[in-house]
Amino acid sequence: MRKHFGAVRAVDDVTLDVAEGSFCALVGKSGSGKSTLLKMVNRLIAPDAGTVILHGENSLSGPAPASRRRIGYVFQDVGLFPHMKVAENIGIGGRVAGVPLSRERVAELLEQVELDPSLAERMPDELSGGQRQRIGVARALALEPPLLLMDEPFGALDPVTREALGRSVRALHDRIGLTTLMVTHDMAEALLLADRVLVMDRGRIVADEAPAALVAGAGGEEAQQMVAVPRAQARALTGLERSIE
Amino acid sequence: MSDIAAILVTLGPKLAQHVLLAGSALALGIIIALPLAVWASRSASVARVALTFASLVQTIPALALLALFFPLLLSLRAIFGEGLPTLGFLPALLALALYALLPILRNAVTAREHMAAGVLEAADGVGMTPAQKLRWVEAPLAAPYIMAGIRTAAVWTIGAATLSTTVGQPSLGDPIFAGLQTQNWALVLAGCIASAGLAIVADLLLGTVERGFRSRDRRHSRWMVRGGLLLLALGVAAALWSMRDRSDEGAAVIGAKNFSEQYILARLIGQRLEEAGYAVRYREGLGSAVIHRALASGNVDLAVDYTGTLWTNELQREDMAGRDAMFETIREWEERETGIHVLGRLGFENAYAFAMRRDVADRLGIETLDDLAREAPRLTIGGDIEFFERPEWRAVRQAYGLGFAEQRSFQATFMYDALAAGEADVISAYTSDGRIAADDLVVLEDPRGALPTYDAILMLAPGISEDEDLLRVLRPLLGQIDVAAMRRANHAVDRAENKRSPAEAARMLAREITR
Repeated sequence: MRKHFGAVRAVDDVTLDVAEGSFCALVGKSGSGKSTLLKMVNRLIAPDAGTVILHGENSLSGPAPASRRRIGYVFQDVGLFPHMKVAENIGIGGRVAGVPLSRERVAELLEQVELDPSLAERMPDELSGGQRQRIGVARALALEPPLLLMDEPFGALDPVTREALGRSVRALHDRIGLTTLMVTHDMAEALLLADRVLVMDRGRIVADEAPAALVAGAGGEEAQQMVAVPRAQARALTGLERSIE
Repeated sequence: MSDIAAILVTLGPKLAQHVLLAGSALALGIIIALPLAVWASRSASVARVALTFASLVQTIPALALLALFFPLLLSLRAIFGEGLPTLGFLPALLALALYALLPILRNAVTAREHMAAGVLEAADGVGMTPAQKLRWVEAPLAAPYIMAGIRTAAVWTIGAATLSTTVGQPSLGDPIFAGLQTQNWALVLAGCIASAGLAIVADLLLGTVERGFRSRDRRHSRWMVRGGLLLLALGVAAALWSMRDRSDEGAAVIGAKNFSEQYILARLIGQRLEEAGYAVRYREGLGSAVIHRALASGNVDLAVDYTGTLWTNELQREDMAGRDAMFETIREWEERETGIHVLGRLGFENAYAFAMRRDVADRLGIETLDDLAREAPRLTIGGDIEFFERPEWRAVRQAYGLGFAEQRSFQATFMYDALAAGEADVISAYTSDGRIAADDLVVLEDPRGALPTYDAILMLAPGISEDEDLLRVLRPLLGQIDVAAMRRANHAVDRAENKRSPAEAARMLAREITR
């Protein structure tokens, strides 16, 4: 896929296969093109060239809204509709597609993201940031999409909430057999949650490794620079613990 | 205060007209602004052009905007035919709707600009089509801001609608303008109170709707939106209902310009027609050019105008003619060019004249303009704001070789006070002005005929001059109103104490005629 913004090659002829059931993390610095690549998958950004094949079908043909309905999408801003109740937010995909969600399905989705079904009647501004993002996830999963895209989904959360939410999303992925593509700038998060880590730099994928391989030193210079940060932090923390003992 | 209360009670029909006009203009403004706002939200250049245009309209004074629609609609007759109204409801509606555009449009565009980017991206992300996004996300989120814009527009429109009196649309501006001209402050205040009251009520109801849109409590919000809209609809419906059998069909429409004499003469004619069984409507406060076109187009059936005014404004003549020659020329010209029928002269003139205090005139031995020319180098002349720019002044100055020691301009009302106080020795008065009699002023004779004549003449719209019954009712007025009687009637309306309404003064005048 290719996308240029003026002279900037945001995505520079990237080809990528994502296996069904896998949890892939797309890691890179700001401006590396990872979000652009993700948004081209669900057509929030139109590519200059390239196609997206989803379950053997070209996802870029036909009207864009119809393609987007088949793909779950979670992003940093959450983007809950402030004038709709939680249940309506979760059910919006169904409403858009003309297949309204039952009350039971909304409750089930809330349970899936580990929230109390009684929240269904609340308005978004009555909820905490972590709860809102969980509802964002529930909304993305409402129509059982074959693919879940997440763009910095935990970026705006505090570290404790972030950690807990990361683990629940991973657990949910395993439980319902999702295929997930997550963009993050946090290598530690990618290493701990994903089973495949792709590193992007200046519009290209420069590393494509399993987390264990990356930690073991594979993936090249760019990738290792990013792995070095959490590794150094972990060492420093271990050092601190030892000094207390 | 009891005066004001008594007037307020009689303002029902004006209020109904005002509600309908402002309501229609607001509705039209909304109908134009909302699609424009949607378009503007899709294109930055459309937003820029639309907002610039709306702001530009806003810089035109409402009075001028209303007046400009008259020639505009007149030129549009080339496309839409002669049936297109150029006065009354249509120009007022269009001007006010344009005026209402800006606050609605600006709030809608601003609301869209400030909408959280994340929410809009989410709308796309969940697969909404542009129409679904507009209906389910953009519209509900912008609604409170748009309502706030509509509130502002409503208050502006209700206020500016008072100015529609000047284009012949009845409104709460009628008592305000009439009161300003006749210095009847109770009338002015009553009009202002009614208009302000209406604006406050509309603002309260629209405010309830706005709060309803903002409220997160669903049931409460729905109740407020529906309740507010229902009450607004009831108000408009009541206005419509009150006008159900007040149709203009068959009623004779009498036009009047914006000064006391015109109000009185309109009532005099109207009362006479009503006694003869005609239904009568008044269109008061019209400008000179407006009233003439209104007559020609049949928007007004009857009006009183002045030969001198028509001579310069309509015939575009700068030369002078004798009194009878001027009248005959005008009568033929109107018949030929506009189809307006000049029925005849009422008997008095409302011309420019030079007036002095009797004691000063006696002391200096001044009776004519020739006498005045002799003493002028030692005297001060006062004129109204425009007098020294008018052809009359040039004509008189040349004819008599007038050269004054000093020349001062005054507001018409204060001109008489200045004369009384000795700040001016001679003023440019109007011959039928009530204050000439009240202040016992001497009007100087014009032996050389330099001042043009301003004979009051009764004019009929092209359509109705064949109505022989109507003409029979009106003919007895011709030649019967002498200038002294007109002055007394004008003074009864203009004076500060023991004021009469134009209708009462018209009855006084009628009694003098029949006597």
